[in-house]
Amino acid sequence: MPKRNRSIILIFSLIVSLLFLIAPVNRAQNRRQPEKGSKGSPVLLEETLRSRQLVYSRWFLRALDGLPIGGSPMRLNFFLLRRGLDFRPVVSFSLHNRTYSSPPLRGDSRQGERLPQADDSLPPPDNPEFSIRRGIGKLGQLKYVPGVIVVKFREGLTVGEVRERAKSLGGRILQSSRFSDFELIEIPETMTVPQAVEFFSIEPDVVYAEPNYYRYSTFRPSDPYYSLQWHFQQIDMEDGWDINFGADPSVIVAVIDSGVAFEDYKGFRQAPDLEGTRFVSGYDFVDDDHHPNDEGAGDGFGHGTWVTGVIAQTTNNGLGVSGIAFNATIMPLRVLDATGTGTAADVAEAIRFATLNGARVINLSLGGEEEAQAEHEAIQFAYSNGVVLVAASGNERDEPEPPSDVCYPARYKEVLAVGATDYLKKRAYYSNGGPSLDVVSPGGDITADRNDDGYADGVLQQSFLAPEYDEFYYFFASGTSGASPHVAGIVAMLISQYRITDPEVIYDAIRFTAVDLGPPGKDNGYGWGLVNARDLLLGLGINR
Amino acid sequence: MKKGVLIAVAIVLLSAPSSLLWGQEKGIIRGVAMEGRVGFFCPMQFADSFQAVFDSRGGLVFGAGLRVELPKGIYVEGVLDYFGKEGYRVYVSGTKVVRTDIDTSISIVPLTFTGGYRFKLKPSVIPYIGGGFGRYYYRQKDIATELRGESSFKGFSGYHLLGGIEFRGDKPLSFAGELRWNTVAQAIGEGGVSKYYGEDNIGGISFSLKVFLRLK
Repeated sequence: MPKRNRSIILIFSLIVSLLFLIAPVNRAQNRRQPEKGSKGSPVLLEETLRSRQLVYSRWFLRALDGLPIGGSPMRLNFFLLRRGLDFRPVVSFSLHNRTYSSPPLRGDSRQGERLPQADDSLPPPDNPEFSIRRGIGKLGQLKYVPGVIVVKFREGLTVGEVRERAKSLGGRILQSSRFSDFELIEIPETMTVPQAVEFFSIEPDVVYAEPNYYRYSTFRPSDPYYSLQWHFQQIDMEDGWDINFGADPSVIVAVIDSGVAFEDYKGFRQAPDLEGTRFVSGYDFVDDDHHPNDEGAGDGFGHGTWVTGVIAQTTNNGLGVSGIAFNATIMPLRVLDATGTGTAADVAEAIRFATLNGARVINLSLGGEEEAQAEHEAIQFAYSNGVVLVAASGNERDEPEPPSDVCYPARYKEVLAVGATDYLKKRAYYSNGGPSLDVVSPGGDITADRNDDGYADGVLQQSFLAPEYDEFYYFFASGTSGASPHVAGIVAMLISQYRITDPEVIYDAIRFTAVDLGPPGKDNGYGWGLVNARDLLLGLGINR
Repeated sequence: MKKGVLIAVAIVLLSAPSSLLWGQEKGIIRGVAMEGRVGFFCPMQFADSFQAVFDSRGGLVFGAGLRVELPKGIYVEGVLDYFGKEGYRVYVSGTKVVRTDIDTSISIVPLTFTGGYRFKLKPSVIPYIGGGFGRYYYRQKDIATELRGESSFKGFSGYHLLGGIEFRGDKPLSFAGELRWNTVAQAIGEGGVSKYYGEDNIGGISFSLKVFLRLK
């Protein structure tokens, strides 16, 4: 081989070798999954019953309910505040609904006032418009109708001449506007819409040519108290609804709690603002029957009903408040008795029941300090079967000896642990944190009114006070119990939108679309940050 | 360290055997040529993110520029390139990718300046090497960036190394095959898939075919 050619080959080989030495290693195999951190050691509970000394009287509440406050038609009064915490030792669970406001507002009718009516009610499930509205929104969908353009020809042309012009340009008139002066023209398959627009635009007989752009609704519920639900606006729910219209009935969300006021059964009544919500058969693991009616929890508050309202309150019905995944189906599962106490065994049973009966999401607004193997194995069973588990992180942060990590079951790595924020997107004073915390979402702060709307900054949903199971009110309440169902509802929408079956994909999606709060990156106070419905449903691009 | 490398390269070039150096031609500017190029860019520095969003290993890159040949085989070159790709927003977990139906696209417009050396083995075959710096304008365009008002180009500094072989005849036109490696750090990685995979560099390797039109 001539010396020149050998020199060329040598130089080229040197360059290629140098480049391969410099090129970076593919890092996919080295990717470390986000870790939840060490489990930590169980924290012993004090057995003392803690409650604050405030006056509380049902008759006093009733009297207050009738008082007009500043002309407000809703008559929500907030000068009575009660916080109570019940702790039971060892392996048991307590509520994470810390407070509620009182007196309540009657949900049925107000004296001398007529409730505003919705402009349009929610389409029934078998209405074809229902399936069309799902998934169509202004965000993320097509900008214009493919294969069709809008063309206006100059005045003076006859119908036949317009048809001929369109045909000569390769198009076919689909529709002539009856009330306007443009034509809808179907373009050849060999052309894209931008190409066709440009092609038609240069013709002398064409005044303008443009794509037939889509126009989308911007959904805002007509529920009269929706404007008080600041917690939905904090996580961009309206933009989220523009992408996915509140999930769909095929997505079942199991609410493992104190039961739900979902049916008229014996002395129990269905909450009026759950009348349009879909339910599937659940189970009462406390009384071992098929009627998981909410009997209240601890202080008589309908905890499970309130939690369910966050997820799937009947929405756009001209009544009360809204829910997040209002088209999802709820599976009520009762594991907490009237004192607000349950057992790990019942929770494990409920998780398995939910998984075996088709639940895609499980919400657990409850917890305790002890790890339980039966419960963990049930969670692993659910996770391995594609169920997403969301749990409250706990409300003990302001205790004299706050825990170093979130409570169980939130602490298990298969569960998404959710802490709480207040109106200002600050970590709520009660919200547990730690290395196992994943994200935060609105849980409220009933001790403040930072938005100056005259009401406490709690999560507003409908519920009741036991033993009046037939009287429903709208409560502002706070706690990580209220934060967790926000995430459960958004997850239901995500599953509805993209039919994701792998929980880890959903967990990573939530973590990497959360709005970073606190110190940069993951931290013990906010986890990966504040969930955002819009960003979650938009998915991930290269850099956003 | 970079200064040391540059000094070492200059010493090597100046002490190279005379058979590899250019002859005693007169004038500072020995040649001027316009160039165009088409090639394939492989984004090796953000390969995982690119594969997830665009389901592809790379894409076509186009460019044009001007080369000025100086004495002793040295040349300088300014080139403007364009690379664009369309895909869909996704959800990722490890190597699993779930695609949405929300479209997204990226565009990279590098403006680079190169200094290099052309070896004169024989008049018709001229290997060359070079290196330089540039400004890389990057844009991601989709509904998420539009909502944030981030759909415009942003510039980032980068560096590159290249090597190639030019085939020249008697006519003003000549052709070359060139391999280029570039690095543009901290251009991405603030969010999205690049944050998930921990990739912040939009550099990679490109192989391109170049056409020169000698003006002098």
